[in-house]
Amino acid sequence: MENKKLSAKDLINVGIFTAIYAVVMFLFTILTSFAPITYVLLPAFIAIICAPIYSLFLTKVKTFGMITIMGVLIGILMVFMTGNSWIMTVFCTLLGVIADFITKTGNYTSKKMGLIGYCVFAIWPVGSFFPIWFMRDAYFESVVNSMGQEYADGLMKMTPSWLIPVMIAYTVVAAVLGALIASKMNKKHFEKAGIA
Amino acid sequence: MEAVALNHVSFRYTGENQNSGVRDIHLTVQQGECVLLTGVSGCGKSTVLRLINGLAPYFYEGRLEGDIRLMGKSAKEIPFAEISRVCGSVFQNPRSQFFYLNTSSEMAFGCENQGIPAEEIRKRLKETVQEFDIAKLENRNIMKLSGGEKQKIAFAGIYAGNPDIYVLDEPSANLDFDAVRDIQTVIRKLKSMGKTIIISEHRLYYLMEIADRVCYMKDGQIQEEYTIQEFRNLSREALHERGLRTLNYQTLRKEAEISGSDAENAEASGFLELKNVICRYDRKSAPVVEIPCCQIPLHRKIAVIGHNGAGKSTFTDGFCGMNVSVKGDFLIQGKPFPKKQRVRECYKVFQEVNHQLFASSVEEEISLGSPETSKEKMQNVMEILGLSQYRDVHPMAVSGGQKQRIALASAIFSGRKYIFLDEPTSGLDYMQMQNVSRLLNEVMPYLEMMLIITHDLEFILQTCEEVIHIEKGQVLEQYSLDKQGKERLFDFFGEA
Amino acid sequence: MSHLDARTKIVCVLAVNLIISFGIRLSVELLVLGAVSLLFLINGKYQKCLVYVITFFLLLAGDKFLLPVITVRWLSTIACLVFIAFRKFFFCVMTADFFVSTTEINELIASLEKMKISEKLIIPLAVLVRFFPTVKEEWNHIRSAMRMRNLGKGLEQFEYTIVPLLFSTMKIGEELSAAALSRGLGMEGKRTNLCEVSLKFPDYAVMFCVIVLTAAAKLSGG
Repeated sequence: MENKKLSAKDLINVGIFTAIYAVVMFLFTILTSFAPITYVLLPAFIAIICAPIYSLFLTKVKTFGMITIMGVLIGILMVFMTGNSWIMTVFCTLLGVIADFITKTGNYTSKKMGLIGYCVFAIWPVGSFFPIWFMRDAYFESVVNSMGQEYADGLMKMTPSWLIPVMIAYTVVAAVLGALIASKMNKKHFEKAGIA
Repeated sequence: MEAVALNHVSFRYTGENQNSGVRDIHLTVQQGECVLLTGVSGCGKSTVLRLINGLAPYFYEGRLEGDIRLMGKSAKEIPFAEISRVCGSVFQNPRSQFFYLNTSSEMAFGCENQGIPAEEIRKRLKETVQEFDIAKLENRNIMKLSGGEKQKIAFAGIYAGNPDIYVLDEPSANLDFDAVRDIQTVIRKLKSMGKTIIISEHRLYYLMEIADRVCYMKDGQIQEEYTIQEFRNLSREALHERGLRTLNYQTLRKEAEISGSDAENAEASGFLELKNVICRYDRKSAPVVEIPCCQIPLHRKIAVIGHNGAGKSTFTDGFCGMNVSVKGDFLIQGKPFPKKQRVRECYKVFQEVNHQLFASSVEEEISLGSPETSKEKMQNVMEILGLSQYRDVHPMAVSGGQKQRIALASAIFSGRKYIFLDEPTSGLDYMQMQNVSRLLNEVMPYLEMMLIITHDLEFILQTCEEVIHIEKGQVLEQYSLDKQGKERLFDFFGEA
Repeated sequence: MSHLDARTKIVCVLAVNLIISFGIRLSVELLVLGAVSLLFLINGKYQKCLVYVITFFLLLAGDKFLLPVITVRWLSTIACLVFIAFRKFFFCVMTADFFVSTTEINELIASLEKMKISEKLIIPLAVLVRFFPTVKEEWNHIRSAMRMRNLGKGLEQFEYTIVPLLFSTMKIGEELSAAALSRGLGMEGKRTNLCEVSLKFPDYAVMFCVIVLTAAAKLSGG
């Protein structure tokens, strides 16, 4: 497979689409963050609303590295703008690389590979829930300190460790749904208007 | 020496229709010369500029034939990024052509890319700031500057890189007349320094003392070439036949004197009255517009003029009940016209009309958000605005003029009677301007009031019956465009 | 000499991030709050600093006085999330805000170049920061146009916002690329950066304190 280098044009495109992606994500999050339940559903929600942006981004991607860099940038933004743990950057980068590889096997043209790539990429917001599970001991220690052992045990039961895989599962489902909406939107608007 | 030479050059954009691009362009520009490319929209003048600065075919992909030489060197031998050393470009949209958010970093951007030593860049920036007299624009947030100021920064950034050739793609398209005068000064200065300038424009008047030659383009070809003397001698009819704007105010003035009396029409059929109206950005901020008393005649096309930042947009936004906090009374024929009703019955057509198109077909767009469902009325509105043939087309796939029509159609269909237009003719050639003027005449009978914010003298003379002049947040004067009114209008544009 | 290098601030953000991951003890919390507040104050961001300090003590008060009184199970779970989990989050947000609100983009680029970060990351990052306010601006225009048309109930709102937003930002993005490329972005050879950054005494002092603080937190927490 031909290994093209990233051009300045590619790099600018990554910056532009990451900006659109991030702003839409932040603003829609604010618009809908009235109930605590949305906090847990947020990854699925983001997977749906950002799908049209990602799908237009894919039409610009022809070189390996663009999706990876988008992952890195989102990871950096999450740490330096919203105060997530550094684990987030690592996680986002990892997902970016995997999504990039998957999309590359489809030569950056295959719709199917693009979709699978998106399903992987879209998982990244789950990363912001990692600390509660990875640092479970520290977290519950602090709960014990302020609430007592009994309460902490109760809370531990309510937030089972299998929640992360479940979260990933419904995020992937949401990503597929988002991709469907995106492709409908593409046909209805962007293709009809003659761009993308 | 020839700074730029295009030898039988043809270019066709990939994936677009046959008509886009240019054919058999033959153009040589001597060093120190200023050449003006003009012609109606879509004639290919931007493409010629893109061929010179290399964006076609490097960025805008397509098939290129023929030979392009820059400063004697074949363009094929110069890597794209290196072209920026000899050729600098300024584009039409001031909002999209900067890379940093800070003015001083922005001016250095081109030099930084070229790897010029930091000391040298600092020296050049100092000179540039002096030369362009922009000390007060140093170290500012670009997002907060006016369009004209942004455009000056764009010129300064190019100047600091010291290229021989300047390629300017409609640099005045989005500017008001004050800003046009500013960039006129800048371009004149560049010319006096012996720089080579190639500029494409619709707005011609400000270049008549600067350009040496004019190329008139049509359908992707250079059809006619004039020396500036020959071009200035073209009659107004000859220009309009070619779809070109009038070259200077004198001509417009003479014209107006001849046809002076036809605008003196009958008494207005009613008034909309403003009493003690105060508009501010939000409740706490200082008043931006204060109008103790003002009577706006109904059923007339009214131009709203005034310098940049006078409060024209704030006033119209406040009227529509958008984004602005408004106090005071609005009365129609003595009856109150409260905000709730204004929000329902007012409509503003933005300068950037793309922001207000949402649907996937023209018909859907027109009916969107409207309580009206009548098929007949829809048919009717589309007929009036000449949109019937576009019924199923995507609103983003039509030309800018058609988009304006769609926006107006949706306003009329949903029964809006008070229409505001923000710079409906900015960046338009004569033919398109004529079309807008005709369009407004056609829709006027369906409306109660029409206010048009504009800086386009030719358009006002052709379209409007009344002028409201806003300055520093106050209504400075208001007059109908009879003979005396036109004198006042000319005075305003003359001093500007 | 209050202006810190972006690298120092990056260290601060990462350190706070790490300290929080060790688990929270009130003494450590107060120490971190004091340290970050000091950074805010040195840079003249008095108002922001005050807002953060007040927010912290409100969260703390909620934890100490409100939580023990709540007896309804689900309500106390939510309260626990807000007063304890969010408080953990709070320090990261505060430090991140300090970083963003006191760093110019060209300074950041200069520091990243000094750190030998590849331009493949620096260019998109610079474009990203540059493009944020533009996207926000377009968003506001579109939302006010929607209000004027009385559009957008429920799910439709999504389509009517995102479609025009994508159309207009993609167009602006294309123009931005054309302009940046025509000015030689991505040219072969070394790029100059006009903004000169270097680590000075205050930087080393702050970094030293941060490391000591991190180590102390680790020892006391572990």
